[in-house]
Amino acid sequence: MTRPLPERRRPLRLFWMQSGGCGGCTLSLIGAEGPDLLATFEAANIEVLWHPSLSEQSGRAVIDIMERIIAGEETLDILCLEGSVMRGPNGTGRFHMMAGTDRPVMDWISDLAAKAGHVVAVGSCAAYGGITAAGANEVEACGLSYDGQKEGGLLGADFRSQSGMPVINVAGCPIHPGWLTETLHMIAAGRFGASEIDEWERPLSYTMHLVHHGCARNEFYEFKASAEKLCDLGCMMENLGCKGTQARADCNMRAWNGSGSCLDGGYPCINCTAPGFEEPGHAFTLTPKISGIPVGLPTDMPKAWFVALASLSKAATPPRLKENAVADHLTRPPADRQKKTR
Amino acid sequence: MTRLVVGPFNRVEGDLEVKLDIADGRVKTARVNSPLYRGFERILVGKPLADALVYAPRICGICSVSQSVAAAKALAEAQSVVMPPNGELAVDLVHATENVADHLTHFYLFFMPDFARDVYRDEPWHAVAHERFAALKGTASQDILPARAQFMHLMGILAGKWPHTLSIQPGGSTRAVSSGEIARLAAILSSFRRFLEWTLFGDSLERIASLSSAAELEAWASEKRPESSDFRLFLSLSEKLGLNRIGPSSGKFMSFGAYGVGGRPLFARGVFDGAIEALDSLAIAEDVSHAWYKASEGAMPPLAGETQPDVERADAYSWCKAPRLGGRSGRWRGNWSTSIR
Repeated sequence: MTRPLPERRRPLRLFWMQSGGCGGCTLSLIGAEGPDLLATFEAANIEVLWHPSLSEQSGRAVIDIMERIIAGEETLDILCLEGSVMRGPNGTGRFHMMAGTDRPVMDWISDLAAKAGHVVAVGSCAAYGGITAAGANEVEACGLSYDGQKEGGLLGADFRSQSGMPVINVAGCPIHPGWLTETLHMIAAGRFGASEIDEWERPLSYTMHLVHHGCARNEFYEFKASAEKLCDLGCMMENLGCKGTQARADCNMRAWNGSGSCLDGGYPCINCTAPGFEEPGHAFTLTPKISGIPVGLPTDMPKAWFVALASLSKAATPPRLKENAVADHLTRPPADRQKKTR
Repeated sequence: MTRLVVGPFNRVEGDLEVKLDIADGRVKTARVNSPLYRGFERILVGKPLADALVYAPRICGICSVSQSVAAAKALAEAQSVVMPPNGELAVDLVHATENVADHLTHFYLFFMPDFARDVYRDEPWHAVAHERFAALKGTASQDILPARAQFMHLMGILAGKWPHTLSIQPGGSTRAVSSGEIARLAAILSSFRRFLEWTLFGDSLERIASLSSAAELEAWASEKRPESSDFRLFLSLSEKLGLNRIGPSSGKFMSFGAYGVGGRPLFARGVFDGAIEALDSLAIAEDVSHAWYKASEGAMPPLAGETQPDVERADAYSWCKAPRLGGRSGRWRGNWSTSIR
């Protein structure tokens, strides 16, 4: 006797838009590994209605899909936006018109978002404005539900998609592929609810952590053995602007491109998952200090304790760490006292 | 007169629109429009010099390293900093990795899927092309994505992360490489070579690199069936569709020179416009006469030009500035870094 084949659930349909950004989140995403992006979509039962880099349709065929969604003739389960919403000049949106339509992209985004089961901001531009909003932001770039740290953005703080969820902000510049693929998989599996996001509506799956967690420079941090210039191996918090102890992401627990991270690459964390990271108020690779003490200390630790512990640990720094902290190659290996030298 | 408006275009980003005005069966005007303005030139104004290395790569997520290298070299020149040879080598490796990955991505993900389109469904080769190259569904994308991702492990080691590394500095790379890592880099490269030789080319890279004429290429291609490798299949489709005859470029080429240590580029610097000439980068200017920017007195060199958006400007139709070399236009092929949207 043959059993009937189990019925396969309807795939979730995803539509991807790009606006004021660089496309870097897509380029990062196609580097997904273990498994690759297409296997991930298949595993999550996601069907790509259109993605500007990955799909066959061009021109009129794309506009048709958007019009069918807006008319309610096509189900849109997940709307992804990559890049900032371009509102300028003077709120007209003319800094980014949708090709072939004579209509600002921001209007298309609003119409599509109103129909979407879930709305996902891919990258810090789509979430908060990001790099495109840097400087005087003459282009009036903003995120879907934020304008920098201010609630609002294009859709407003009260926006809820058909699922009842606010815009989900997979922030980062760019995103780590895993941050998005996990989020999409959880959405598709019906397991992404309000308890899965943090205070900036970022998935807690990666913002539960600090960039500091798993940083290979932790021993230097413990003993305040600091790097003095980029490419030194010591901790980059004291002098080089590193925000790893405040930045919310798991970059040192989840490898980038196989094995890396910013800190592993010899440069500081610039907190790219945070709203407003593009305007830190100081040079990115210099730590602002008040009377020699870095301003941006770990947020949930009393300052006096930090300073006391730091001066204690600085006094106890082993020579090995002192030396390695200001070298670009490890020069002094740890020594094992069990080994008797003759 | 009828107007034909085409857009958005896949496959890099949709931000391209073509407007054609047609009369008596002929195209009267053709306007190619980039409909997005971000204003990077203006973002950079007033920023600390070194911060350019954070902003510049974010101009483009595809060629972010090229932007980083251009910014680092400009800063080095301004500050009279010289990269040490090992720094040049490390930066070159990161740059070349991106360049190679971009060619691969372009070929497999952005270009070849068009051969799988329905318009070709009556062609005898369509079934093969569709099975191999259909967007998202073809077997090629199953092969290329893991191979590309593993190749980009070079970036994890040499640049920390990609896109948007901050490892490339005026004084070289922030990431020293250990001896164990050199072995890993070699193994990753070797593994990628297997993919190129088995899947893309169907022959050794040395053999491919030794082909020195169109005739040699054709002879090589005919040694095996088109389906035996993706490159042979591409050559076969190109021949059947006569791609070598449609849409040829103007035959003008420009190279800024790339890679190489101590001011001796591996890829030479120069201009080819019938004959090889030296490239004078000071002769590069940007024409904004049909772009939504405040009018300038003729084409301006990037250093002197201003980026002042003017969305009401009459006769303007694009956010792209048009680069000129010594007043000459044409479809220059090369590393343009002046046409920032």
